Amino acid sequence: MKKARSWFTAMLSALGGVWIGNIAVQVWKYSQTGEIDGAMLLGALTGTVLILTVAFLLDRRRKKRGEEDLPLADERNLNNLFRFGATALGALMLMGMVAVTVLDATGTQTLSVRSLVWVMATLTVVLGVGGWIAYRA
Amino acid sequence: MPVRNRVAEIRLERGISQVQFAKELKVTRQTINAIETGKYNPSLELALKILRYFDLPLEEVFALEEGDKK
Repeated sequence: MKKARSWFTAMLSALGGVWIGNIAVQVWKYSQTGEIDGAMLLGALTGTVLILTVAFLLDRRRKKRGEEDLPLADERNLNNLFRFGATALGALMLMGMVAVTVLDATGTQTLSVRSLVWVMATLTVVLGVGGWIAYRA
Repeated sequence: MPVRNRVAEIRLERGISQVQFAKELKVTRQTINAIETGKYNPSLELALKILRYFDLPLEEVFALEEGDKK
């Protein structure tokens, strides 16, 4: 019961994060432009459906295997996660350094904020997805 | 340094399933499988829990691979 509660808490936290972020940005955008971002709303809805579907399927598989009383993660998962994090951050720092050095050497001295947004978004996705895979491995 | 263990052998001798064993040790079934296949060496805490569960001394469950220098 306690484990099931922690599972649902984690799932609800993820969904809560998606919707708090979405609403905050929508309110800000509405105050600036008077419009609501439909694409973002659709993204949040899609994310919600995906999270709920994955949670439901994982839960059903655990019950089928009689693993519902087992913890979702243990020391091995945390080890995997930390090892991936350390390796990934090292690799990303190296790639960033090489990229900045190449840009500097080719005479580029300014970068648009939009390009930084893309870099940060890519890093977040890579670390998030990679971390999840490493965590489960 | 490679560590070999007899966890799978002892568990099967006693007719315990991986799921049951994982429940007793409060870890995932995947971790039990990883330990048994030698893909993961348990922490000292988990190794001690395994020894306590089997009620066996360390050398009967875990050992360094033969041929390794001390």
